Amino acid sequence: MTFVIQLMSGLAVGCIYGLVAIGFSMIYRAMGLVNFAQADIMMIGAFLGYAILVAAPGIPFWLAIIGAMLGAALLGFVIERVAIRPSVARRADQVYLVLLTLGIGIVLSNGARLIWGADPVVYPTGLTHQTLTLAGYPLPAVYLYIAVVMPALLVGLHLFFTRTWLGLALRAAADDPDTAATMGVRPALATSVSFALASAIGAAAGVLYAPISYVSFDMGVIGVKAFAAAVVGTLGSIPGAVLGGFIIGLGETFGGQLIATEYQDSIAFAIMIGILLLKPTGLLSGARR
Amino acid sequence: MVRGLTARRSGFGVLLAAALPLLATPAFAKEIKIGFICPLSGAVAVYGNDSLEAAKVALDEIAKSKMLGEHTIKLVTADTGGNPSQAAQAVQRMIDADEVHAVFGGCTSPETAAAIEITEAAKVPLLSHLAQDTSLTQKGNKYFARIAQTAKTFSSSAAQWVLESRKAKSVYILARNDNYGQSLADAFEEKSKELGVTVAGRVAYEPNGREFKPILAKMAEAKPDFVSILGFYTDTGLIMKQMGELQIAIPTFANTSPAIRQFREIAGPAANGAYGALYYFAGSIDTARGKEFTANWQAKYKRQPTQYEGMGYDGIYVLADAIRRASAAGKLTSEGIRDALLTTKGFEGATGTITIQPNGDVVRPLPFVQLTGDELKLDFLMK
Amino acid sequence: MSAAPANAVTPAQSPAQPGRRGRGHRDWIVFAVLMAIAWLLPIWLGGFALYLGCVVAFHAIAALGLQIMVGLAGQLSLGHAAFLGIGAYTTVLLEKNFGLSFPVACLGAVFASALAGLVMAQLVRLSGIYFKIATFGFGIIVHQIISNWVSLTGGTAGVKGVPPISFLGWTATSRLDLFIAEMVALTVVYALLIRLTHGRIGRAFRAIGQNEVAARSIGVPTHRYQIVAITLGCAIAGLGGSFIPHVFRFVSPETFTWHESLLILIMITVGGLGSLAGAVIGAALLVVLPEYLRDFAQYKMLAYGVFLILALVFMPRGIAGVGSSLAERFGRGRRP
Repeated sequence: MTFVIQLMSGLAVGCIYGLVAIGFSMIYRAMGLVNFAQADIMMIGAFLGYAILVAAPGIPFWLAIIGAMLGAALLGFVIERVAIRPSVARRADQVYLVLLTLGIGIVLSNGARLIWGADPVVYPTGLTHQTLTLAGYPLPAVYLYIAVVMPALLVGLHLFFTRTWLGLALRAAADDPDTAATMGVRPALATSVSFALASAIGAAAGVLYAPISYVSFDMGVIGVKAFAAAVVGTLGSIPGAVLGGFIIGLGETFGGQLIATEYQDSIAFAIMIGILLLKPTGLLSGARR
Repeated sequence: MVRGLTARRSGFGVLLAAALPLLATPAFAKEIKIGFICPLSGAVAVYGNDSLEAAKVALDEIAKSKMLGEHTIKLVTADTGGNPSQAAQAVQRMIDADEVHAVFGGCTSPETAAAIEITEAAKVPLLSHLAQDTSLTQKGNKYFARIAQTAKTFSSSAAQWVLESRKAKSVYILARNDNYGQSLADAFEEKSKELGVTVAGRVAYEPNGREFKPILAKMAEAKPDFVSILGFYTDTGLIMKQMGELQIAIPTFANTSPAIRQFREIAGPAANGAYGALYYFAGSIDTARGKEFTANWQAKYKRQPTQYEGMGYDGIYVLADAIRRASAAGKLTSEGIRDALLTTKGFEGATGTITIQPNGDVVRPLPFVQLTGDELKLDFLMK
Repeated sequence: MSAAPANAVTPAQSPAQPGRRGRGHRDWIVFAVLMAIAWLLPIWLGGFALYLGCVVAFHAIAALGLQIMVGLAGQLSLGHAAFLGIGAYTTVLLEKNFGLSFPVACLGAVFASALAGLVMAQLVRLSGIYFKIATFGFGIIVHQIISNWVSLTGGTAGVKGVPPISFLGWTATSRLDLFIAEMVALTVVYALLIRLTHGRIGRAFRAIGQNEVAARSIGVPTHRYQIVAITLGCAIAGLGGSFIPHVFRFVSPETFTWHESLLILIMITVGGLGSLAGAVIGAALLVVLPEYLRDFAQYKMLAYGVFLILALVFMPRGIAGVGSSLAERFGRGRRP
């Protein structure tokens, strides 16, 4: 029984990591950008969901998800225009872009603290404390939503990048902006749209994660593990993000139980470093992007 | 003999204090600077912000009541962010640049430990209202006092109370993996063994942890009679929530958390029945002073004071009382304030009667509570 | 990693590219001016300013090390606080448990940090961004080891009772003594690093930082130089860290968190990526400024974030870059 709970628990955590990691991978695939602010955008999304649930009590949960996604998309669009655009236009080095997204993350988390306060908040909806039983394992009811949203994101993003003009244009712009421009793709618009899209995905992850625990300005720390997940599954690969999430989630759960719970975070990163030493660009690097 | 002498001297002091306002001319009036260090930002900001709010209320009252005669207190505040180095730097500045007479605060134990290293060297008294680490008063520090029980007293009293009243035969301890959680857990474990209660297991969990089900599943296998969670309200809240999800119905002690609204929101229905021990519980002190405080607070803020507000409020009063006595003794210096602070005896505070022992530790009431529905009930007040 | 285009704005480029000798002279003039201020101002002001000088000095040392790694060689480290921590703990444990004098303990600290840096540097064979994320993981692992290895480090309770710096019978009893000891270290490190950046190694670092692929194609053994840059940066962080227990008289794992890593990164960015002077200026600015804005403490991190973004967007070469453009404008005088 304990084993089943550990397994399910690892998978459940992995699901969350994967969900956040999809945002990391998506933006990397679209812009070649490693966005350290992604987890803080997720946090903002979770707070937007909270604001919606407080402002309109009794609103269906899926509407809160969509509302938060729209809000975050707008925010992402603005961030890209104001802060990221100038550096991308200057073709700044990766080091600059990483530092820039770190700065954006700091501003977002501290801005959220000033707006919503330092104390954690809990979603005022019945979903927060509901559970359902799956294979003898009591699962928070919000996993029903996750079970719908995650495959939808996987399929949707795959179709987006392979079938839609915008998706193809984004990939073209990320791979070779100059050639893409001559083909009529406006790189500027492409990056704004992809940043907005990644922000919306981050917000969905935030709203889905919130009922499982709570919302606070520093909840972005979960993004660190999600990052490890995205890396393990190869940055830029959407299925890889989900796979990486499960590997990190299961790894730290079983590792923590077998070795020592106080080293759980270290175990997650040791797994990541170990996998990278074997496959320097992640597990799905061989697969077609 | 000795007692008689002190009594007479303090009697004289009171006389002098009464006479001071009459004698004092503006030339005598002194602005006494007190440093205030607490986390005002970061993950533990709730402790600092509550404390600061209450400290300001206390200072307003003190200024209005002319308790210190013509003297006034000026608070110099600084944020530690819960970071020991930042605390050390802030205290150093208060002493060097602001020339404070005393420092108040230190909410977490590491930041207080860092502050002590500075205040001891500068011979400036430090009064902490929340720091619990037992070792803070064990190193022969001469300028440190606190009004919170040590982790050892707090946790072993709690262990005795819950385990005896629940007639538990075995207990499982979950403790936050930091100095705070671990020192509480050490005392809890020791007391449990002393009472003949089996410690079925003890787990240190990650301070950032959000998923506790694997730990809880293992715990459920050990079938303990009682669970003790020693950590901050965010972790105790999540652990109780997940215990509820796993349908583990074992009576639980959740440290100081049951009094905190956010804990009840995070844990949800699973928090029902949780036991807690508090620094202070509004309404548990049935002295005139205790009632006056909660009534005034209710009138001003339309709610009861939190435990951190109670402690911040009383801490400032204890310090002001020491300043009053130091002034009466004609030694309004850091050293004089320290002497007065360490001889605080039977001080009638809003959170109960406070006596500070020569090593800086405190003797004060400790309320034990149980959460029933959404209501916190006083179970027992250990005097 | 998206291949850095050849015309990328890289930290080490300066707009006018004066002759190497000219730049060398300018570096030494800036060095002399900065060190004169750093030595004299705190001593002249005394009191708390001297204490702040001590805090600035160890941050400046660490920032110089990170500047070599990040600003020059382009090896971004997101876990630099770990090496400050290794330095701080090695020093204090050697002094307390083995009664070693400070210089010996300090050497031990530098050695330990360099060794840890060398271990981390083995990850350079991971490409670009994967390495950066691995450094973050490295920082977390070191922090957890320091927190949990209670029998060695005292765990989260920290280490108290730090002995004063002593050296061949001389003991740093006053704050001024401590400041002098730190400033000697800072001055020496700064001077050595200027020499290094003017030499062959510095050129190789810069070549890697500007375009790793191009550097490899012209025959620079990039991996070897990357390993050297990382190890050097970490060793210098260890040297800076060895002063932390003496400045604060207390060490605890909570000093060496992600927040501290980020702070040093902000220092070198705001000061000017690639500029040694920028590292020192950034350290001074980020330590001193918050002290004068104490009433706005709750906005501090927000302001840091905004600073970082503004610096990257509007002055990618930082304060040092702005300074050198101004100097050039004046230097050109009134030429038409």
